[in-house]
Amino acid sequence: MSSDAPNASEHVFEHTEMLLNMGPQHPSTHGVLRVLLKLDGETVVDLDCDIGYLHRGVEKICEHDTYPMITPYFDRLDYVAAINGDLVYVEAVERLMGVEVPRKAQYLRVILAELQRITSHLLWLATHALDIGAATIFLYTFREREEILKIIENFIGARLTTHAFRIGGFEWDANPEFERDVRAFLDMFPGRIDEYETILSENRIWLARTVGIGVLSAENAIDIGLTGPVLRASGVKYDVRRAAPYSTYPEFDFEIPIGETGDTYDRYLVRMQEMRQSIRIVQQALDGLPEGDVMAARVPRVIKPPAGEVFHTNESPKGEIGVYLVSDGTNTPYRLRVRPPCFVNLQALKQLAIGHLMADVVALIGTVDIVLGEVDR
Amino acid sequence: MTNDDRSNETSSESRTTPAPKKAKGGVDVVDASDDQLVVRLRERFGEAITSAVSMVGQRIVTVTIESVSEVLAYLKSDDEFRFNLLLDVTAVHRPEEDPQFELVYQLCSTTTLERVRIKTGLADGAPAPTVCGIWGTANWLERECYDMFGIVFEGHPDLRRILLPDGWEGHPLRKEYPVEFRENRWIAENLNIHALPDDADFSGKVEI
Amino acid sequence: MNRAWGNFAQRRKGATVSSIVRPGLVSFAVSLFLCVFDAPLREVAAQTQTQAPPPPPSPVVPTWSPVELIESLGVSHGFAEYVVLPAIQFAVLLAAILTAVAYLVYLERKVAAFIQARLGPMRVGPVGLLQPLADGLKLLAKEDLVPQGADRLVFLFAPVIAITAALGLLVLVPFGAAWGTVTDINIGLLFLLAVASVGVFGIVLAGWASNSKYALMGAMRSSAQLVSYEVAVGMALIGPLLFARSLSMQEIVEAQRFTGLWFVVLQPLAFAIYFIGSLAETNRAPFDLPEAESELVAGFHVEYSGFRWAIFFMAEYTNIIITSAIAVTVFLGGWSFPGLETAVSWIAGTDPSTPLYSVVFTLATLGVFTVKVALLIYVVMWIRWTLPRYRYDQLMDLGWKWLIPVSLANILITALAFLLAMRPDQGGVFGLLEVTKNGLWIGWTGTAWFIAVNIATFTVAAWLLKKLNRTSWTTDIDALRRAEAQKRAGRLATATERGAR
Repeated sequence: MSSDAPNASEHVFEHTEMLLNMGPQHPSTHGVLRVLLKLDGETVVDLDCDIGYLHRGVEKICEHDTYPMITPYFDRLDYVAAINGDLVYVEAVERLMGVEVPRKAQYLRVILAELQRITSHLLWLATHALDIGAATIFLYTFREREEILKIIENFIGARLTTHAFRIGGFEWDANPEFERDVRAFLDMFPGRIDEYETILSENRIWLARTVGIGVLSAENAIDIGLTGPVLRASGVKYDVRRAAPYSTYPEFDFEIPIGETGDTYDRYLVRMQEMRQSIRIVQQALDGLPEGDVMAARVPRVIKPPAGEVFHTNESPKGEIGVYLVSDGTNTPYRLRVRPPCFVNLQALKQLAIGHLMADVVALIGTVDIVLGEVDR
Repeated sequence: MTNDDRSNETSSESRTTPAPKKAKGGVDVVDASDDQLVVRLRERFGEAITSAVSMVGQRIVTVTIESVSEVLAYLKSDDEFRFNLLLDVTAVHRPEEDPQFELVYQLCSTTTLERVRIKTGLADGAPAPTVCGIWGTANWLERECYDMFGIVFEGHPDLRRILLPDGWEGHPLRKEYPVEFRENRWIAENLNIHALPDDADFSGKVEI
Repeated sequence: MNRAWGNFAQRRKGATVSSIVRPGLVSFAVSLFLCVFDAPLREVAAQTQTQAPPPPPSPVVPTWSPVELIESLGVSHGFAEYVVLPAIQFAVLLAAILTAVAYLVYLERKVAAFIQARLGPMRVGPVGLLQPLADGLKLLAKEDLVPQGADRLVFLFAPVIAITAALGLLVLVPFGAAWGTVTDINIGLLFLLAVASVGVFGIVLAGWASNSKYALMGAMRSSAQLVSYEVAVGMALIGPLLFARSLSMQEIVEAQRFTGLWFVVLQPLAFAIYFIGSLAETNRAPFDLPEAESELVAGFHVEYSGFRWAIFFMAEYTNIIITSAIAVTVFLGGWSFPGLETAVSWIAGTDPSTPLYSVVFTLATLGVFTVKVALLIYVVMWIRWTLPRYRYDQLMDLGWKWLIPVSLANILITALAFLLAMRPDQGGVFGLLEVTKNGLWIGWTGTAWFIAVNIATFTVAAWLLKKLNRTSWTTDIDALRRAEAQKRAGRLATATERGAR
């Protein structure tokens, strides 16, 4: 060996950090997220997200599909909250076309969207708790989620990728048992949320694992463009249902729960509270459910929105989902852009995780609540 | 600006452009020059604001590419508007027009709940200014724009492909990129799939 | 703050200092009152000082042993006692334990299922009873993979170390009286602890040899965890040993039988420490960090497949059986149970030398021991399916800042209390217990005294440690947040110092 050759052992121990590849096959990256961690011992000193494993080119496909054909693609973006995805798309098209959706359809949409929000939050709670090691709550939340999925299936015909709405309203009216089923669920569910909170909210280990983990200040959260519960947990009272009201949300009385410090525990509390608020909305919508048609009268057979553009946003369970629709007057969109809340929120992971331990990274991926179908599109 | 001034300006605008202007088969495009925000922007940036319209109740302000980052920075920092939340950065490709690209920024304010869309034209191959320094969220959004359209953002700290793999050829959301197209070469090289016959049929026809 | 939160703001305060300390103080006062000031009890205490302790319970351990049966086949006594009988015993034990391990997995799945409002395995055999068999067959049929770049020899050998350490311990566990146990040596407990810690080599070597970062991290966590919790566990066992006055497993059981008191009554604190520590030592939730599936995928055995993986699994469950068995032996009276002798005498008479008595008594003690161990294992499973997982640093906090100081204090104070409680002529002060030829005799007052001391130890230690460990024990959310922020900044500073960033 020549004298100027680097000493092998010196070279190895020069760096104290270890590069750890987490995903895309990993039990707690919620799909096919790949996270590259630079660890110093167990401390995360740097992090990079590698996404795109689920990229299907939805935006490109949409440019070649007619408007009614596009709705199912929105089911498959955030596939655990398909109805919220559907809603933002059909509302965007309706807004561009100036279609007036009947009030009954609007109310039914709100009911379905809020029920879907509950299922999404339940799934989040299940996986988040599972990541932190509380396995049992996973099954409890799935039990309740199943009830909602049954209601949705009885009405729409599908459980997950629902294709719930048509441009202009609904394909058919709600099944006769719909109201009864939803009311039964509303009676049962608040007690179940109490059950979850009994297991977690004051559990010492749960507190130790969530309190103070991934603190994000309000300015920081806004700077990264976070929306949804993640933003609200940082103390920003911004909810699209109130900020840019759509559908019939202004008619309902509900509150926007916000957090104080923006740590993982606050995000947990905010989402738990949001489920309770969703119940309130569904209750009011059911009580005030109008009579009448569920499909707008004057929706043309071939849907050709006038040339123009619209940016319509909704409050999806993950954050603000938006559709930027550019129409050239033909039966396919000229450009359709999805503003994905998960994609933007995932960007916060780096800021959240640096300085925490590796075990916290899984808690943080869970707390951001991403669905890779929407991140990658 | 006094009330008088504004009313004067409004009336003069309404004389020159009969509202509402209706594109052929298009949605109503209402001139938004009298909007307070637009007035303020024009006051400050003058000619840089090329147009201001309102479509289905949404404000769209078009800005020249040179001053877009200044306008955005102003909108964020201005005490009156406080557009502190950058919702989206995207582009629209119109190959038949000049300039070919249109960069679109969706802004929102968490305090006043106002929204505005800022657009700017961009020639193919021309660099666009980054807004990463103004909003952290622009980092990934601009990366996606680069990935999908090939728009290069000057000054971006980490401009790499984000959704597509490194080494992918082409930018799929450009209009010339075909929708039914398989990168056989890339797949064969990177995913180790060599089993495809040379005369593989990708037409989608199924023989029964 | 949104008013929908009002409810939380109140509830989030959680437990306060007084809610822990107050009950402790109250019960301490009550015990002390009973112990010192109550006149009738003082009378009893006076009696115990003068009277000789009652003789040991009349029906005793059987004297007949299967050795006689083997001898009658023409084998010499020594060969029968030291070779043939232990061989038979160990063969039976091994078969029983391996079956038990398989069914523990079944039980775990069933317990988990019932906790989680579902059914668990139901398909293979009636109510899924043949599921372990199916699992075993499946694992046997799987390919035995060795990852590229692995240290092949070590990789293949590591599970053997783990299972050998676990199974080798079985010979010393006093499953039953007389010939219900394979062997009994006078340093039994010490030997158990020593050999149990060999098992960690299996884990460390498996993690190292796998050539995988996840496995390596799992192994590192595991070794750190086992080493630190072994200290607490070992020291927690010293308390009861003061009363047992022996390291032999059978004599520890006999001591509890003689005094009529399980040591969990005299040493509840030591039992709690031992139980928590043993959860950590067997990598069970909430301390299952070495194999935390959500972080490390599977930890040290992430690269193992097929039967080698099954061997790790078996070693883990054998370890659970053994730690539970030690807990039962040392704290819960082992194979003894109040009234057991009487119950046996109904069936088999009172003559301890008859073969029938011997068989019935031994089987009864085996049954008692098994039931106790099973109940303890059920608690272990119950905890696993209820609690979230600790983080690495929190686990170390719990071990080093809480369990070890408390166990040290427990030894010290128990020894002092023991000394004080002895008869004056034996070198003590109060005369609440008596050292006799057959063992310790502890009366009512003695029991009350030790319980009081234990509660006092816990209360004082908890209070003191709460003061010392402010960051790791606070129920105030804001304080927790501050502490976490401080830790984060500290870690970042360390990393920057080392040049990792």
